[in-house]
Amino acid sequence: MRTDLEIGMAGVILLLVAFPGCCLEVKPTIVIYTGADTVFAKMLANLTRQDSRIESDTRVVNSPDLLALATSLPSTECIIIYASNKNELEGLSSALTRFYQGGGAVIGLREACYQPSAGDLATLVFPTYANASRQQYASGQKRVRNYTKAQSTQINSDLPDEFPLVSAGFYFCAYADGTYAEVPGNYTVLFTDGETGAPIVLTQESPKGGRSVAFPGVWVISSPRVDVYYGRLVEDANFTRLFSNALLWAAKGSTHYSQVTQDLDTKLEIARSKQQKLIEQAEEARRRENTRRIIFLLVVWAAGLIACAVIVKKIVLAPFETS
Amino acid sequence: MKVDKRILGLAAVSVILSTLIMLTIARERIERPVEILKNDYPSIVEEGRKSTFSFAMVARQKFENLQIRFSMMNTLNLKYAQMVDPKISFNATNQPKEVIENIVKLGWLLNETTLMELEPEKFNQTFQYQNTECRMLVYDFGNVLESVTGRDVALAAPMIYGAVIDGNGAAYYLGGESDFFFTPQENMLSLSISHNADEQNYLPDDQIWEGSKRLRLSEAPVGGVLDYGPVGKDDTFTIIFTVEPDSRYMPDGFGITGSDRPISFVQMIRIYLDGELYGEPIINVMQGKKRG
Repeated sequence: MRTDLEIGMAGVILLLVAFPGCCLEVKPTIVIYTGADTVFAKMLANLTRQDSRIESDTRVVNSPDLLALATSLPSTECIIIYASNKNELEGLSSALTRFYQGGGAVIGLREACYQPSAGDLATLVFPTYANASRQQYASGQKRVRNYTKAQSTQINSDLPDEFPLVSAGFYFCAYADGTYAEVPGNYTVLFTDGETGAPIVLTQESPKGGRSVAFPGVWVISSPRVDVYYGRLVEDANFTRLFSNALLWAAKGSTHYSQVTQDLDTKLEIARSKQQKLIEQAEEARRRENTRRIIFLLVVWAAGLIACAVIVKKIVLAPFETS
Repeated sequence: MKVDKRILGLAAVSVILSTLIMLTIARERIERPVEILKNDYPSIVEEGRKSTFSFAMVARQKFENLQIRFSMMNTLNLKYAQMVDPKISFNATNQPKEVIENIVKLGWLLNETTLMELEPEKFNQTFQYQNTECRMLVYDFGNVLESVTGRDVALAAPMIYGAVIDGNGAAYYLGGESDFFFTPQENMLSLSISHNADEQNYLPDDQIWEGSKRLRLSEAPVGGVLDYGPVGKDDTFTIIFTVEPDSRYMPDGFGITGSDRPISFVQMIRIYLDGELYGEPIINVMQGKKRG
């Protein structure tokens, strides 16, 4: 096997050699995923860009793989996830749960809050425990959900006490008869659904500083010809305000980004010095070992020479001297 | 006193010889700082069938720190949207770099990490597999992200990407993660890690009962990374694990191999001595086979 290694034990060293004194600044990034259809994601990205309070970068990704990767990147400040079906959430549950529990900010809409599709996400991260949906609307009835303020917080204080938002449906936790089943837990309900009384916007915080906001009633579709088109939702001032406020609360109040990036220079410096120290310690140990060996050999050599001299003098030369 | 010149010559020769012997001993160097004693792995990883991986090595000198990293990569069957150019085809004259650059996910990751000025480790390697010379390029982001986000976070996601082109021109996309095997909790039956006489045995969590001397697999070294503090001369390290793959917990495309595309998995074992990679990564190539 032949190798041409272009390594660096790592980038860490290269990095610090290249930028020895400067401060490494990693801009916070909001990663948005709305399944394979990225149009809604781009609309949500536009919303965040238009809000001057949010200075983070935005990234739109079109696969759960990329979203899972994003959870491991230091720059990821907040993850926004909207899914239309179970397949779009495949493989995300453990990555997003770990991210949230480790201090990350996550906003989940629609299927991300539905337990049969999202699994643990719908209990551990977005605690809706939703097992049922409400999608039937009476003939002639507008397809909207009425958001009723449950309690005033930083997210909804500047919003009306009640307002409608277009929606094709809503997920919630229900008894067998379809009525809302309240699940005790350590979460905060901001708005309830006007029809069922179930939470339609709820927040939760993890012990390590993660923040999540669940929107089980944001259920829109891609066709501009229908009333529940997502373009109509993002034009609604109440939704825009609610979404931006939720994003700000989650992203700026969570700890993952700040903890990972705040002392990035120090962490890299520690990694570098740790490696440097190891190399120095190893060199020192080898030097000590070599010195010990040389001293030992010199002693053996000197002893050998002395022995030679003694043998020559006492055994070889002695007969000549006596004669 | 008159001394026989022959005796003086004899004495001089003794001195010179002993000096030469001493110098020869002094110049003696250890050729290899570590020696691989064993590297056994199955040629085929088959669903529902037990396969054992054994790796043993000995340190031929002292080290302040010794690290062994295990990684597994599988061949990726990329979908249309997962390739930069889905229509591209490769042949034996192409470079692995051209193949790896066609992975959208890698491009995205490179872009994101470049913005943070973080560089992945890169390995450019050639190996023989089934009488064919294969050229491989691997990018590993795990090591560098580990120093920023911590090992638990950095190694939890697939952070290793690679590409292989064999002598017949077959190109493979590789993706993987730092660990002993894919989804260890589901696919591994046992794991044994020894440093000299100190042995630790791990079993899947659901097979551990109270009072058992075995450890939970979930407590095994994260990401297949083994760290050892001061290591003495002739210290031995042995890692043995048995897997029984379940296709539900194996990567997508497990078992899809043809005679023209035999590579399914690549195990990569790296040894870091005092923070520096020793030699080249050890590459073990395997085929995958589904039951039935």
